[in-house]
This record gives sequence, structure tokens and C-alpha cells, in this order.
Amino acid sequence: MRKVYLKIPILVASCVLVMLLALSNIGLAFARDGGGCNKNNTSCTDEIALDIHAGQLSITTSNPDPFIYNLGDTTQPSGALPLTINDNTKSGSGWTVSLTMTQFQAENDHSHELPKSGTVSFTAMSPACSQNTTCTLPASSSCSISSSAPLPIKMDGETSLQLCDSGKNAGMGDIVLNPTMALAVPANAFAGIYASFITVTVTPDV
Amino acid sequence: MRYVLAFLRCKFWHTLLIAVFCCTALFAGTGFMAFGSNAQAAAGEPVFSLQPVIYGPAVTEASSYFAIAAARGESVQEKVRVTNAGSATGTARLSPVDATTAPSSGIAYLSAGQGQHDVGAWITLAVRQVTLAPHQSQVVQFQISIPKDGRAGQHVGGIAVQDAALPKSTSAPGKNQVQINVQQRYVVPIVLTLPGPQSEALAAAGIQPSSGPGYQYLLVALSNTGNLMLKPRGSLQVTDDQGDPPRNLTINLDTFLPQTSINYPVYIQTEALAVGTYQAALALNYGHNHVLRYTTTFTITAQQLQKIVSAPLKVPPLVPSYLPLWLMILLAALALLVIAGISGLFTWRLAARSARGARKVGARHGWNRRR
Repeated sequence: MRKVYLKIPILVASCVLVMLLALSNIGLAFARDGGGCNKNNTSCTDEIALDIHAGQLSITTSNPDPFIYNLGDTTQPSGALPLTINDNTKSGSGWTVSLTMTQFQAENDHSHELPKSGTVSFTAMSPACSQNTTCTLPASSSCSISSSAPLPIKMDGETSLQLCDSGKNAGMGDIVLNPTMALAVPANAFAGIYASFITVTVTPDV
Repeated sequence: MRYVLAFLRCKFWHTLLIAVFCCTALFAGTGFMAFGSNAQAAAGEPVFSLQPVIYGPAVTEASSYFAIAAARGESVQEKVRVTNAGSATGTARLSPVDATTAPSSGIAYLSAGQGQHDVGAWITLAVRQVTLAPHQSQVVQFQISIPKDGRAGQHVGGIAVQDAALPKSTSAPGKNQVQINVQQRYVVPIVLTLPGPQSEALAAAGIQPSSGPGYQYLLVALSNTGNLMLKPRGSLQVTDDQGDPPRNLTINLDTFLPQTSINYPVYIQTEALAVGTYQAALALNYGHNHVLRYTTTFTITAQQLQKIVSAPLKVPPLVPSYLPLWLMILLAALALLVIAGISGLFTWRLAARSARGARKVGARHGWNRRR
């Protein structure tokens, strides 16, 4: 019997602790300030203050799946570059994503390289909100790629390609870019495993 | 009461309590993800970002970059906060970098390995590497030493941060494959304004056509010859010498940094420009009511057109289907001359033959003798 009575305060304390934890993690501070009802109590006014904390601007990305290509194949390889921008700054000042890419070099023989120009181009990109989230999409004029206006990249590790400029008051939230990369492997390339490094840069707009 | 006590006594109660606790904690965690301020980082990787600690007085709307007005020869002390928004401990490598204009306009920051000659060369960081646990941050001091002979106007550079560790390579079984290893970089911009006369100036130096599989564009050579950032807007009108309606192409450039030059690509939509010579008229508005007007000619060759080869751009026939009007008139005149010449020759020969025949007949009948 004593054991059972001990459990009741533990249960109550646990519930209170969990509720406090939930509220602190949600991070929203609701405060009732002012307000009140009129004399007849026919209408009441409540003011709720919502304090939204600003966060960071960052990128979420990963290596794309390796492109498999047999020399002589008529279809050249293409695939998506996983790329999500997380703009939680709530500033609306906008951001720009650009990238540089190094020349493809064969792993076993560094003298075997793919050309710096004409090997990789970005052929499609349609920004979208990350799954189950709300966002403000970037301006389509400066953040979309179509096959009639592809963006070829010079693979010298220095020339920067601007992929997307969100524009002012846009691009807020988690924006999935995932641009499509199309490769053009020359027919006279040596067979082998080739590797390149992409540096994706995100920067706030000036 | 008896049933309640019995319920509390049973072992099921413990399980229920744990389940309720876990569910509520999970709910709390979901709330954190939905409303919290931190970015969703890639699993098991550090993600670094930077924020100015002291904001420039000119920046009112955001704290995302440094806007500094300074004098030549001055040294400016600033601070930047390095944050690891990822889910793993990592070492951030900090580098001061210059900025330039990207080929398609917009600000591009050089890599740390490239030579820095402007803002990137003027910055000295207190530390260049910082090791941070997830969600940990550290303030790093830096100094900008403005040279005494610095150009008046705006200078743009930044501080870049990226993981000091090289990206892990992804491979699949097989011999013929192309791997791409991605690394992230964050740059906090620094816009430095030096005193002196400010000028907005834009110049065009030529227009060259270029093409590739499924696309065709005109490369417009532009230079920002002033000392302030510009965002030119306008159009490019292309007319041929065949009397076709002109094509108006819209141009909206992103930020164009001072003292930089680019070949800005203007894409041809729907149908490619056919082989021939064209007139291009460029009109760009920039700065405070400035307009750049530039006209030139360019030629599309069959070789360039052959590179397009595929959809979505409609490719016109390689050989022009009809000739220019002046050439048609010239050809028609030539044809008339040839016809007139041939008919004249034929008439003359016919007349000559008739005269010769008449002489023969006269001789046969002795007309000459009678005369």
C-alpha cells in the first residue's frame, strides 16, 4: 500500500517534468499582456505575443550517387546533386548559392583527366519547400534552370557558378534545390574511376 | 478506489508510465524540430556558419554581413561568431577571401587557395581553425588593415568557413564511374567603403554568339568600370537583314562588382538564330538613372548552329531558305540582263541571217547587176 502511495507523487512529478520539457523545447513564449473584457462581458480581447528566435543560414548536402557510364553508351549519365538550403534567419535578406568544381581525375592514374569545359552542366532545377514544411520560395527568375538555358560549369576549381539567388524576402525556410547534373563524357576518355570535388558556398545577400 | 489501487500495483503501470514519458518526449522533440532555430544538419557531420558579432551602422535589416566605412591606412577590429549547426564535432577552417563577379553576374567568393589582392588580403584572423561540438559557437576576432593607396568606393570580400576534413568519397562497385565529392562552405560578406569620389560606370565591349546541345546564347562582354556595385537591367534587341521581326531579349543582371568584367550569357529562347549576320542593340539601365547603349553586329555560322543538334531549341535550316531582298533584286537584274542579252544576240543573229539570205536571193536574180 505504501509503495502505491509513493508512486502517485512520482507520476505527478513526471508529468509536470515532461510538460516543462515540452514547453521549453518548443521554444515559443506565449504571453498574455493587457487585454480583458468589456463591461457586459460580451467581447473579450486577448493579446498573445509570439517570440520567434532567429537561427542560422546553412546548407544540407551530401555526395550524389556515383554516375556509372560505359564508353560508347548513347545516353550520357545525369543525376541530382542533393542540396537543401536552411534559412532560419527570419531576416528576409536573401542568400546566394554558388559552386566550384575541380577537374575529374582518374583515381589510379592522375594523368587521365576529363576536359575542364563541356563535361558537366546543370540542366534542371525547380526549388521546392522541404517535405512537410512551409517556406517562401526563391524568385524563379534567378533560381531556376531549364534545359534550354543550362548552366555549364568550368571545372578548374576556381570559376564560380551561381546556382541560385533567392532574392529579397524570399528563400526563407528549408528550400530543396537538388539541381540536375548532366555529364558529357568524351568518347576518347580512358576507362576508370574518376573523381571531382564540388564546393558549395552559401552566402547572405549583400 | 480498490480498482485504482489494483491498477497502480500491477506491472503494466510501469510500462504505461514509460510509454507516456517517451511519447511526450518525442512530441517535445518534434516541436523542437519544427520551431527551433537550428538548421537540420546532415547526419553525423559538422555544419559551420558565420554571423557578424558587431554590425555595421548601415545594416538595419539584417545581421548577415559586415558593412564597414573606413579610412585609408586605418585598422578596423571586428568579430565573427563561428557556429557548428551540425550533429558532429568538427574543426572549422577560416579563410579571408576576395570577391569577384560570377560569369552570369552575382557575387562569387574566391577559394582560399587563390591569390587574394583586395579585402581578402587586408584581413588578419586571430585564429584560423576552431574545433566545435554540435551547436557550440565561438567568437573569432579579426583585423582589417586598409592600405593607404586603397581605391575609393566599394570593396567586397568575406570570411569563409568550411570543414577542415576532406569530404568522404562515395564509391559503388564497378570500374567505369564518375564520383563527385561535395564540400560545404559558408561565407560572411564584408562590404568595405573607402572615402573619395564615387562613380557608376558600365561599358560593353562586344557580343559573341555561342551554342551547345539544345541551347544558343549571346555572350555580352560587360565591364563595371566605376567603383560602386551595380545591378543593370534592360534588353538586347536582335535584328537580322532579312526583314524578320526583331527579337527582344530581357537582361536582368545580379550584383556586378566594381572593376570586374564578365561575358554575360543571354539565352535565345524557342527558336535558334539562323545562319546569317545580325545587328544587336543593347540598352541597360544601371545605378542612378544611367543608361548604357551599345550596338554591334555578329554572325551565326553553320558550324555554331550544328552544335545545337537537339531539342528543346528549334533549329532553323542550316542554309537560309530565302535570300536577302537586295540580293534578290540584284539576281533579278542580272537575270534580266542575261535574258536581254541572249534575246538581243538571238535577234541580231536572226536579222543577220535574214540579211544574208536576202543578199543571196538578190545575187541569184541579178538585182545587183540591174542596179
